[in-house]
Amino acid sequence: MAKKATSFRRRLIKRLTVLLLALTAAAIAGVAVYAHHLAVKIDGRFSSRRWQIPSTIYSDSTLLFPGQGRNHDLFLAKLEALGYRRVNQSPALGEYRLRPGRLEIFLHDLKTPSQTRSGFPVQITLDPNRIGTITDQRSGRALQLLELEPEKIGLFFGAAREQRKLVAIAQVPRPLIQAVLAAEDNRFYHHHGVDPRGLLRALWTNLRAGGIRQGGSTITQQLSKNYFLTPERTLSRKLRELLMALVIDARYAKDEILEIYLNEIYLGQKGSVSINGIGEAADFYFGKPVEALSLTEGAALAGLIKAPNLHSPYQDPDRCRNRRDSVLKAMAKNGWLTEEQLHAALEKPVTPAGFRTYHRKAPYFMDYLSEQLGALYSPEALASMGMSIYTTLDTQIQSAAETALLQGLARLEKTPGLRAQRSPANRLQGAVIVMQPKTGHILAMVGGRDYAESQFNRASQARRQPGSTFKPFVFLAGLERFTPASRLSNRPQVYEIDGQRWEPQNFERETAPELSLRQALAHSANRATVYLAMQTGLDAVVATAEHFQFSTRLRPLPAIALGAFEVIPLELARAYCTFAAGGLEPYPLSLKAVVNEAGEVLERRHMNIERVISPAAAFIMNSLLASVVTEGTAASLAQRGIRFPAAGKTGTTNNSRDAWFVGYTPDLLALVWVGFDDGAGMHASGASAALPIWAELLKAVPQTVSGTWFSPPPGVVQRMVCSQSGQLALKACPSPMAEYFMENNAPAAPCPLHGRRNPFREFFDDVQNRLHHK
Amino acid sequence: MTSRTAFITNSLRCALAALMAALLLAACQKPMVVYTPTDRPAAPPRPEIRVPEPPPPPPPPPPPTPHQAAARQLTEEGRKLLGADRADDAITVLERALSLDAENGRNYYFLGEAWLRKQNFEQAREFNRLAELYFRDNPEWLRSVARQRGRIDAGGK
Repeated sequence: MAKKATSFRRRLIKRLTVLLLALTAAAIAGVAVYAHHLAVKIDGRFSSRRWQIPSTIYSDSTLLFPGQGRNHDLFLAKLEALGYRRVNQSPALGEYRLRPGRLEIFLHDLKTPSQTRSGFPVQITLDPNRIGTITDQRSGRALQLLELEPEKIGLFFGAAREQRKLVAIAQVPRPLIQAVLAAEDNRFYHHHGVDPRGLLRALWTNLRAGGIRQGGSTITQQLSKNYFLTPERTLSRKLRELLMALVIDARYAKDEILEIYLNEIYLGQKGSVSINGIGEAADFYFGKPVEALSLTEGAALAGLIKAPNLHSPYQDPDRCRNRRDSVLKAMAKNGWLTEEQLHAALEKPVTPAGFRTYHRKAPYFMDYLSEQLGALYSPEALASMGMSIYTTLDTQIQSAAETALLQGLARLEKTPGLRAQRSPANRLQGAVIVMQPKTGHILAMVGGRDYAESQFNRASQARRQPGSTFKPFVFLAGLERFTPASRLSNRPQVYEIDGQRWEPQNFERETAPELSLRQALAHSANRATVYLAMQTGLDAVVATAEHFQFSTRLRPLPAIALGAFEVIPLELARAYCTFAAGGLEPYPLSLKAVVNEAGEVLERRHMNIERVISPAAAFIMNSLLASVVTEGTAASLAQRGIRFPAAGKTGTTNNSRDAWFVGYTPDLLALVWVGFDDGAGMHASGASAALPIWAELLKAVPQTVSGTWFSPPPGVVQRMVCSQSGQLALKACPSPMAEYFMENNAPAAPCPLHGRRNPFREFFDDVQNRLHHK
Repeated sequence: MTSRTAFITNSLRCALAALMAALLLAACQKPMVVYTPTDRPAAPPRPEIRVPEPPPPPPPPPPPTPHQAAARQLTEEGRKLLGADRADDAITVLERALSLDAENGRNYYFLGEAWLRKQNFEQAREFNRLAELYFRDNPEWLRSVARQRGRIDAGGK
């Protein structure tokens, strides 16, 4: 009997053993299959694009040169925006020191599509309103030109809104790697993805504390969790994390795993944007590239990993320092720091660069740029491919334009006579466009007073009547037959159009029965302008204007002479550029280049010009429009501090619905428009509403003003003419004046109004003049 | 000759003489001067014949403005980039120079050269014309501009 029982037990044990082995084998097989599945998933993820890197938009670089005008406040703001920190000692990389009469700065590296240059120390002497000398402090050599790097002005985010600057493991300083290992996983290079000792130690610590005090996760486990898994705390998720860590460790080198980890980890928040990776964190917290981080800065970053917002130096500097010190002590315990190094490091404070929120600069310009980019790239590509997009924007001019517009509108809203401010949806609005007239580069664009209130871009999308700012195109058409000295009728005149009577009125009470063409434009005399348009021919006026590529269809009606149709402000600015560019109309340019992550240039945009009018005609127009500034409707510019040569035209439409000023120098063109979106009247003219904004803007950007003027090209001659007849002056003429003419229609006959008539004398004078002026 | 004929002949001679005298008188009157910006002064008295003095040296060109000096630096950088066969980079730099000094003939010449290398003959021609405009008083550069125009015309065919 006993024998039977023993035999049964043996068979049972044997069967159970077989069953156990079978189950174990099945479990191992299942784990192996699952591990293979995980491996495929991991390989697929790591071999494809690992992160969505938003494309970065940059301003144009900034040129500095001796003798250049400067706005001290804007210049310092520019340095701050570029991430330069002000210090009181000799500046290191990315720092500057301001002393009486000079600025010492250690430049960042410069990287543009055209060049790269390492940073170096420079001294700039500062005269009261100008840059003095620029000296390379390495060699003592004087520099004729210095270029500051482009400024980051925006990012194209995807849904994740992560900001990340990728770094290679080779770029990461050894102390930073050691700090991260000391803080998170000091046996990283010794375990196989999971550290049993670490797990047991954490378990023991947590049991003793009665709660979770320490995690046992390795760097590889953290990577698995962050990269592939959701953050819920369940046993199954933890088991998957362990298995995944083992697979990653088996398939990838330690340095590669660490590199991915260092680029993946979450390290804080900048407003609504998360800071991911130590590359971005180095810039955000310490304003420097990761390679330039010091031992203590690296330890501070490593200390953030556990709880970035809790230990952020911007949130709690003391807690940050304590955490950093813990990391430094852990490094010493691991033998990565000597006692002396540790004590020296513990003495140092944590000095962050200064919190910079993610702030979208020049939003209207960015929207305009987005439209241009939309033709080249999808939103997904822009949000994920990490491209660098270089633009024409000058952030100092942009800032000056925004300030001038806001202050100008606020000033207008206080003046008596201006319609009182209405609801926020109907506030007085404005637009400013600043362009380099020769190249067409858009240097600044302000499409409204507050982007948050209204994203409608009045600079590039609004259609408004240009009023008198259209007159230059009428006068240009008239130059075929008339000259600046020609006499135009300024008398009241009734015109009949389609059975309707129309009598243009002068805005200013200009009562002289006749005006010279120059005077008529300078004083914006409506009657004389319409007279000129009718004499020239309305079809000719339309044909001339059409050369400037206005998108609006122009009709040959007398009211066209007074700008009674609609234009887009950007098109008007571009048209005026033609005068300043010697007759060449540029294509407005906002984008300069697109570069991929590898530094390859994908797109380039250069200036594109088209000859529209002759250099001689352009010069005459510049001369006429300069009279608007010296003696005409824009003469108040001198009182507003504009002392350099400039040309321009004011514009006011019926019922003062629109107030314009388009003004330019050889270096810069700026258009200002003011009005209500719903077309309500403002009781303010171009000279009182828009011109002051233009003046404030130009005064704020002295670096753009060369003080030069246009030189007469071939085809332009100067003659002394009688101001009353417009013909060649005689000695008896009471008010002769010098005037420019196009050579092919310069006056040849002497003044018929003054001097005795002597036919023989006239004959000899005529011969003499012809010989003399040949 | 009859007296009548002689009378007529003499009368005609007198009339002709009177006409000539009137013309001469009118010509000798003080002229009504037409003002010009460059009125020439009365001719000086004829000097004694002597060894002419060497002509005064031409006035030195005015020093460049800060913008012009900076533009020249950029133009030189652009020229070097062209020499390194980096036409796009050269154009970027030369456009920057243009924004500082729009009357620099060298700048336009090198822009014409860069666009020629990119085989955009329309833009090259436009910049070549501008170079001609701003080099109109410089025969040496005008020759280079003319040669460039020839290459543009040849390439544009």
